[in-house]
Amino acid sequence: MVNKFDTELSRHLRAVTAPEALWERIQEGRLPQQPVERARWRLWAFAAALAAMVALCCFSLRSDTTSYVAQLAARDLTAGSEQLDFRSSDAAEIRAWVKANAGLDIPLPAEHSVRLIGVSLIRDGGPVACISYRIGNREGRLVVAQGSSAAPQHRAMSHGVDQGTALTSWVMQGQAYALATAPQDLRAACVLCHAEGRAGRKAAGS
Amino acid sequence: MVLEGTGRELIESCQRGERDSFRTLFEAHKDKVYSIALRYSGDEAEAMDIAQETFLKLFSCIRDFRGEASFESWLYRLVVNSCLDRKRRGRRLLPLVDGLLELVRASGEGVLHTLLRAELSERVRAVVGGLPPEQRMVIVLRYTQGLSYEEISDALGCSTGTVASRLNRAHKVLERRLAHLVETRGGRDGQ
Repeated sequence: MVNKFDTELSRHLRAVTAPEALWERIQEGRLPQQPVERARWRLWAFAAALAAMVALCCFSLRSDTTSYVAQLAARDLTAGSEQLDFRSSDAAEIRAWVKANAGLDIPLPAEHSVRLIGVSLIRDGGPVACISYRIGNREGRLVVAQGSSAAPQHRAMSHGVDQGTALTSWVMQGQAYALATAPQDLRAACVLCHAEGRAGRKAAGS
Repeated sequence: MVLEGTGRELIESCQRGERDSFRTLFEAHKDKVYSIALRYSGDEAEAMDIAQETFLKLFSCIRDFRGEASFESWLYRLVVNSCLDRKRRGRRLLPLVDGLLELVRASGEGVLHTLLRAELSERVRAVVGGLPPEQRMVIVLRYTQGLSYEEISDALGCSTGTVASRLNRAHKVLERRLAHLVETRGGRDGQ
């Protein structure tokens, strides 16, 4: 038999109706996603991860461009290759030829004390121009390829000496440059692109 | 089989992640869950938190429900655990209200009859709220949901003997603290 005390407790502790806002609260806490939504989310996550990976690879490849052209410059200099696609000692001619055949604009000054020999093209993915020059009786190479930075000044410049060859690489105005030369000719070789200075004249005269 | 007909289908569709089914399941059990949470906590905001937590747990782990036990028992366990996990809140009834109750009770029927009833309910709930958590939960399941000893033992994961023991201890406390209710309403029959 149910006593009155129990009845009173049941009355005072009776069940109530849940507020309408409860469902909204639960939705705010996020319901479990449906399998289709989960699959879609996974697809997006995979696509995002793939895009990030591709971007990373591209960035890595671009940042490797300078070291790549440096390797080309060093290899070509070491090989002492005489096979040139275009022979000329005229800076303006070489610049025009490279621009026409490789789409690269190499700002070679019209006159300088470094003696130009000619240019060869390497087609490895994109066109790479390899300009041969001589300072005194020592040869050097300036290798130029498409780079990633549009900065007007040198960027990501690196310098080192490998087996007696000074290697300097940088990125400028969207092109990657590498200079392979004898260590003592390094400063003189700068006049390949820059206005001729005292160092260039002195080195070329030696 | 514990789950029959539409109840089983509803749970299976929830297990497949069908959003509409979650809503249907919620509508079927929201009052039950909220009532337990409210009567246990004695606070509407707290009850909303407990109910929200319970349903989120339910929806997120409904795939684990195999139908070997009663769904209701499973649900009760979720809400019981959510309640017991909460820190106990302080009693809400102020001494002023106690004094008012004494005054109104002494004067018998009065113009504040409706208010008295509401305050009486508050008093009962406050006393229930002062019980230790395990005893309080047994009282709530017993009087808010009208569960049997066996159903309470399923929900709490304890024996029916433990349920009976807790109820007995809770009753003694309630009778002592709500003596006026016992006197006014005629006491516990058969005791």
